[in-house]
Amino acid sequence: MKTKISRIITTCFLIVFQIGLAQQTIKGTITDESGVPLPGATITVKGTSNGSSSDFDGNFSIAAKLGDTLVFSFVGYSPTELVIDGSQINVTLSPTGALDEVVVTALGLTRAKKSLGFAVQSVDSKAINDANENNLVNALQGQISGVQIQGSASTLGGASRITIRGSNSFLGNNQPLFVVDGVPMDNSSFSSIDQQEGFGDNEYDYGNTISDIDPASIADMTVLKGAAATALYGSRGANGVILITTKNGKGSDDGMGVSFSTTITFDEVTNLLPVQQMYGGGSTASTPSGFNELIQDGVSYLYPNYKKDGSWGPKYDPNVLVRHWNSWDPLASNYKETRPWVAPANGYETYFDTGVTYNNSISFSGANNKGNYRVGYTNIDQKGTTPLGKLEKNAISINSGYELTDKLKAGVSVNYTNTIVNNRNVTGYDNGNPMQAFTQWWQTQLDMDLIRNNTTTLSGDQYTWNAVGPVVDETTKEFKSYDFAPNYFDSPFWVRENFLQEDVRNRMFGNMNLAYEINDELSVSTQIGTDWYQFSLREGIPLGSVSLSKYVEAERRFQETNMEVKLNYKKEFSDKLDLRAFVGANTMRQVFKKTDIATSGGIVVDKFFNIANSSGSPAVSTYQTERGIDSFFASASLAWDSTVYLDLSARNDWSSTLPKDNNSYFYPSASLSFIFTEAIDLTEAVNFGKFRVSLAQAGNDASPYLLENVYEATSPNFGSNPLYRVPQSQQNPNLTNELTTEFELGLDLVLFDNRLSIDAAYYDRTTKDQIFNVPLPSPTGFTSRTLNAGEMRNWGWEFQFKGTPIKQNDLRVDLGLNLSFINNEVVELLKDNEGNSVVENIAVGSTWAAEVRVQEGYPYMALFGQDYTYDSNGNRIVDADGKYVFTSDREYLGSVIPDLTGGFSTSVEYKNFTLSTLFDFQVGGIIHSTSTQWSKYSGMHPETVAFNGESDTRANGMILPGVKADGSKNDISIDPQSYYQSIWRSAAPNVFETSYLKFRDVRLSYRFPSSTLDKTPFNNLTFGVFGRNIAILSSDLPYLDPQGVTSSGNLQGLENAQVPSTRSFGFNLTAQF
Amino acid sequence: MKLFRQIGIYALITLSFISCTDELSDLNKDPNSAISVNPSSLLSRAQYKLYDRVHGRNLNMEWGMLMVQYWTQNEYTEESRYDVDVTTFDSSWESIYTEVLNELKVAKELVSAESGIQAVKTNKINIIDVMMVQAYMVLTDGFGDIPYTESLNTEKTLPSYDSQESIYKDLLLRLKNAATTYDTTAGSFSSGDLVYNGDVAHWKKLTHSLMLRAAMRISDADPTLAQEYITTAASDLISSRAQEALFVFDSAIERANPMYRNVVEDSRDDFCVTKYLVDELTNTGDPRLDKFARVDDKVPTIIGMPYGLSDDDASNLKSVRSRPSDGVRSATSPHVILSYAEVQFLLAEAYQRSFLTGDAEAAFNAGVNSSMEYWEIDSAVAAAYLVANPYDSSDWKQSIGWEKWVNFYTNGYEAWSEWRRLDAPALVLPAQAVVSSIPTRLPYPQSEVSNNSGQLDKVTTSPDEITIKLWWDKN
Repeated sequence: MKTKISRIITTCFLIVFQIGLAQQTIKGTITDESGVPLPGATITVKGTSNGSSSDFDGNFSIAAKLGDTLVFSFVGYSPTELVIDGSQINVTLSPTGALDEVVVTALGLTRAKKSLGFAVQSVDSKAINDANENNLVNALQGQISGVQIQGSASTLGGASRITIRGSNSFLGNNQPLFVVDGVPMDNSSFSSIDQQEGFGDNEYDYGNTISDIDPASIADMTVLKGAAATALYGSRGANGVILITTKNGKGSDDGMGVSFSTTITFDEVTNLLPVQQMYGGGSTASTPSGFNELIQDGVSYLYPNYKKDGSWGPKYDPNVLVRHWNSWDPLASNYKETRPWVAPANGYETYFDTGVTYNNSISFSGANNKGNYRVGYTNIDQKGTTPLGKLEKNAISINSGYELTDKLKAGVSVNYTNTIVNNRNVTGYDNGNPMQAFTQWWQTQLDMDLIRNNTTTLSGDQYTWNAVGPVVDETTKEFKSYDFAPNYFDSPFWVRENFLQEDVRNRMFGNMNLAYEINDELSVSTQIGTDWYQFSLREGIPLGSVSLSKYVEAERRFQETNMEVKLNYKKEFSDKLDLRAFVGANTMRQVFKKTDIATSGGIVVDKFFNIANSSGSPAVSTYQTERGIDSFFASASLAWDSTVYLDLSARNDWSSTLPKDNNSYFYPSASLSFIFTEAIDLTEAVNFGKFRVSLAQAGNDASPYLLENVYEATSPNFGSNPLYRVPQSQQNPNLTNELTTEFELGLDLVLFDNRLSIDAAYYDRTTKDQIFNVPLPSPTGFTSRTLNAGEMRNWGWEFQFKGTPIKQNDLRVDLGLNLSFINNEVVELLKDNEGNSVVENIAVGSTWAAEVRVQEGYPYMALFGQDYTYDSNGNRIVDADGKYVFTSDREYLGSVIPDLTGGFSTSVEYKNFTLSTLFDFQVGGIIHSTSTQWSKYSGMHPETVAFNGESDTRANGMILPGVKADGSKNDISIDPQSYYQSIWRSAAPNVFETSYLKFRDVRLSYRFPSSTLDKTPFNNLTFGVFGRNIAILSSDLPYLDPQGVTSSGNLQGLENAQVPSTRSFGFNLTAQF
Repeated sequence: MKLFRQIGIYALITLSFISCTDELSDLNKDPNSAISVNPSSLLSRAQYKLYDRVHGRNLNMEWGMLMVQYWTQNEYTEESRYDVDVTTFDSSWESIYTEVLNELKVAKELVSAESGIQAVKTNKINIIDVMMVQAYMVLTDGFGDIPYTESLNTEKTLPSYDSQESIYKDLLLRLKNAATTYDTTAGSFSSGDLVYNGDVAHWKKLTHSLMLRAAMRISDADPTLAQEYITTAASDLISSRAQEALFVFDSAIERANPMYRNVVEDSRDDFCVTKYLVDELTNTGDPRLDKFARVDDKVPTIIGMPYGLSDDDASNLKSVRSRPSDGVRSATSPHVILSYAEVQFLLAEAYQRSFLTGDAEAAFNAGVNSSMEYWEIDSAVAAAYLVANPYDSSDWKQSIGWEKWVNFYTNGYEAWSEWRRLDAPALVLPAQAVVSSIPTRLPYPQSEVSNNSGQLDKVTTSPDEITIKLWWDKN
């Protein structure tokens, strides 16, 4: 027996396929209405588990007997049944619209969409592949209602954020759960709170780990939005679940199918904040020329104040010759060179390169009536838009299924991804992120070519535009020396050439499963799945930078293993009543470990990036967490006459992170759907109509280690004295679980001969007893304490329209529109026994002028800052100097969460051509831009030279639109510099709405006709050209990308030195043979 | 059926993993933190955090050192022009309550629970309490009324504010309790005291000296009480330079002097010495000027920058004005907690104002000599300086105020307190100031405005007002 078990396991791990002998081989072709073959359609012999699938030409073969019924199904097409009357059967399948769509729901159940009592939405794997986004999250942009996505498109391995139906938790994770072939996947983003606020100390954007999933291996993706759909995933399903099924082997025993795809994409940066080009950089000296003056070797020179990182210098004048920043290297041929004081030939936008990405994938697959396999390999080679940025990803996936006996099936899936990145982008307000200088502290006259070609002096020192500069005798003006040390900013190219950043992530995930059919009614299935990665990174800063030199080595290791067993039961009680049910158990264990080693006090030998090169004793820190959840669950689905469907489910979790006596929590769900078109005769225009309602709960546990008071060591010691601290957040031994309750109503309609489908949903979701760090005034000795408190509500409408206005022989036009109206309120934070609010808000993040809070009675992530003051007519009030008067307190300025998000898609197919477009949009939501704030402060912003129609305001002054204290129209002229440098602490002038309309995607593809391919080895050959993130057609935020974020964390709405978005164009060739 | 049995066994193996709930709670034992510690390691951290704060950027470099015009910002001159807001001091407020006072409170509880000789425990508790008094003084001398009696109590989640008057009365009482209960024959912390390494006799002298400082600080507001405590304090003061309380920062950069870290770790070059400092010390022929300011190739003679210039004006002068000396910004340059010179200046004032009987001029001279010695000035040079700048009892505030001001160089926060109390030396409001007088209070933090406004509203209607005078600041 022992040997038998090991044989089963061995079978699971090895790709075994064997040619089975069967009764008779039935062959045929499956095509769609226009005769295009449908590869990968499934064929089953009705009443048996015997099945096959079609190959790339739509050909299939299956062993069956004459008189058996074959069921043909394909995602997006109506299943068709045919009785075998010969050895050759050709079938034409018709698209279903929404009618008979089959979707994968919780725990991998395949269900007819029409039977579901809750909202699910499938995403076409073609759309995911076509998007050509390295990060899977970005590929979902505009595709799904109820989903909000933020993230700078295509930045080298950067982070993106996704939420489904808003955020449930004040401070916890609000990202949905990704599940690949039944295995929950980690989606960590290694960003600090500092980084989310737009700050950080040379912190790189390490992206979010879901980007390890190779889009090319995805067969199907389903989004489960509501708690009813997610109850079976337990706690982590409460934020929604994105279910991914990877491709498996298809085809017949004709042999092996090969599929190949190659894509080349070109990226260019967009959304740059422009700089004014009327005045130059530095400051204005009190000399007649406005320049500093010096005498060197008897010659008088003018020189701009290059150590000043801003642009309040003299006005451009081609007749004025000055010593620019690169004229001070005594060994260089241009020593003492003077050049005119004019706008640069090459502005900062020329810093960026054209990014190029090559994406090649190939897969081999095959199947017979006993089993199938697929082996896929993808290589992505990306050159970033910032100089020397590079990403290389290799992904391998192996999938196989096999019928060991008539009753026993085994499956195995293994995925491995290796990602190597060099020179990622630094985010936020830091010298390492060139955007800090370019958008906030720059000199307008700087020519990027000169900076690119002069990163070091001929003696090898860094040569930065922002050097401390000339040392001049104050009275004689005699030049004494030149200090090449950077004042605030390193040369942006020197940074890219000399800073070290590299990381490697190895990730392996997969599962093996067994299913055994006990009898017609009962079956047992079990699955073990694991997700593992090791992430190693190295960072270094050389000597000579404005930042202290350093070297850091870090290691992150993660593993989560789930084991699950399920007993399934199905029975048809009568013609009308059908029951399917299961009970099951799951155990989850998760381990995370990180190790950080860093030099202390800088490095000794320049550019030798090694811990041994530390100036002081290196700092080492380790941190690890473990957690586990054990669960039992049960579910039953009752169907009555294909008209009424009732689903019930329940789950009980035991979590390691809650107190032992309190670690069990139970949550049920129920949903009901009623297909009224089956019960009532409506007009012929209504092909299908369903009403659905569901009510569900989902419990959630805490983070590890919140129960006991402990002492934390702070590193390093003080000499030989250890330094221990009491944690600033007070622990709580009495925690209980959080609970989310959701109510959902929905309506599905298919109209006009399946030409139009409408899916509408209303949801109302409340999360209570949230586990979070309730702020305490620091005089208590703590900044916060861990409590169960608070309540947050999300509610809204979702609409999805799909239409086919034109459908003729050669021409088909499809349109799609999805809309999500999002509402959110922080109902309660913490009340005392008398019902008084004890805590009014949680400060989540802040910059100089603005802060984002979770505040009672306001939407989640409410932005606060000083606002303008207004008179009774709504005019802004100015003071005696002509400056706006701002409120003394920080006022609520709006929610950073939009009110409405959506997408609009079109697809036109004409003969072998397909042209598709995608637009997405959002209405409402606000953002505070620190880049805009400092850009104005430092005199770079175009508004600092021309404001409100007034020209050259630096010379002429400007008049702010508004009224004086006495109510009369403002006529006080003010100097822009003194205005902008005095109001930067007030948020209102730099707060903008994040409404936008983006032209996200356009694609033209051509499929070579079969007649042409007949003489070639190809079954299918498609060529496409595409553009991605083409343009922002409308946006209230000037210049910048309203969707930019620096991490997938909760904090949003604070822009600071945004890494620019990219616009992409490319070509794609797909072949199958 | 054989196969079914196999499947059943396989399922049972899986289930057996599931049913161990004991193993579950074992997973939640935090491997990253300690369950128990020696209280001395909490004391060490509290001491480091307090002195790092008081000497650091937020309270000292960008506040105290600017308010008394030792330094001025040579670029981005907001703080020099008193342009601060309600968020500026959040981090200091939070740090002193949660990283200093709470650590000390827990350390005290741990000491109380220790077994051992009672006298040693009392000494340890006294040391911890004197640390707490210093931390509360830093807070109340900046903000005025602060949460005190209801502070450090998680039952009081919205702690009320106490008046500065009542806080000072209690702090003096705590100092007196400590001063009278030390047992110098018994030991205290055998390690972890980063100030005196557990020397009880020294702690006793520091306790008395702090009492003298605190009593003198309230001498204009409550002379009677001041008199009482000054008399008590005088019995056992710091009486030599060897007994001075210094906090010597560590040479490892993470624990080094914050002024050093600012230059080396953060690569900042934000400060010049002021024209006022340079000109006045030059006028008096003060030899300490060479120790205060830097001479180098770029600025070969000491020349100060006018205080509180506009951003552009400061930037244009930046390359030709002197920086603070390397000596005051070295890694292990100490924070002076309380010096022998300060004790002598306090005594001079006490004699002058007849709180005590004694020779004011002699104490004043001893203070100046000790200060000169601290700055490594030759005694003959110091004597010559005193001859040229003798004590003037008719204008004692100016004499004592001036010498205290010079002596407190690097400890701007304490200098700011004494400048507010003595109103000497006479500092001038810069033209570019955004307020109408030199600030005399810190703005309350945004965290209190947001999270404890019910209590804060009871003591102030203008939490961001920085020119209000505190209770002890009578003129």
